[in-house]
Amino acid sequence: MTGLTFKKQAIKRYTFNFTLAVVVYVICILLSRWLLNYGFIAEPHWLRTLLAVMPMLPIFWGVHEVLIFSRTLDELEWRKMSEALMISFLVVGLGCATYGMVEGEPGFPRIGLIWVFPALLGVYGIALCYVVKRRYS
Amino acid sequence: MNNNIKDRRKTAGWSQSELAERLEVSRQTIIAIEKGKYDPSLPLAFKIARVFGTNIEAIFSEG
Repeated sequence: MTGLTFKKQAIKRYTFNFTLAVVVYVICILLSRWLLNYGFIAEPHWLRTLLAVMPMLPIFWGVHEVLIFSRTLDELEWRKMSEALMISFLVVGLGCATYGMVEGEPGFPRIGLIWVFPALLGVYGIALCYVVKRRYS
Repeated sequence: MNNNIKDRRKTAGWSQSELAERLEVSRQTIIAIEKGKYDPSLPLAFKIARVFGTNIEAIFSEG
């Protein structure tokens, strides 16, 4: 099997499995919120906690798929990804630290930690476009 | 660093995709190397030289 055929198969596998993980995540989060918010399960506390974090299971599956796929990337793809990750890490990390200093003051509402990971992903996507277009195209 | 990969590739009659397949990298990587936007690692540089049947110095030069 040539490298390119292997890569195509890896992309196919990654696309299918990652999409499936996202679908399972959406189902889990809807189910979890429905069960918790409408009071179907009020007790015990550990079961509510378990239900609340249940959507993280497909997330870990998705992360696993990303890690498997990352092994098929070549050295330039790794470099682009690493640069984008570093930009995302610094922007979101420093942004959170800066906001943390004014959070709670008038005009600066408290923001849940649940938004940190989506922010990392969002900034990573923008940073990747920047890195690809400005540095390596 | 300068390189003459584009000329050698055209002489060999290969497309960027064909060269990418021979080197087991993406086509984008070939484009970036040919444009001089990215300097390949030493193992990839050796591989490039091997594919063209020559040595590294014949393909890459300081610049």
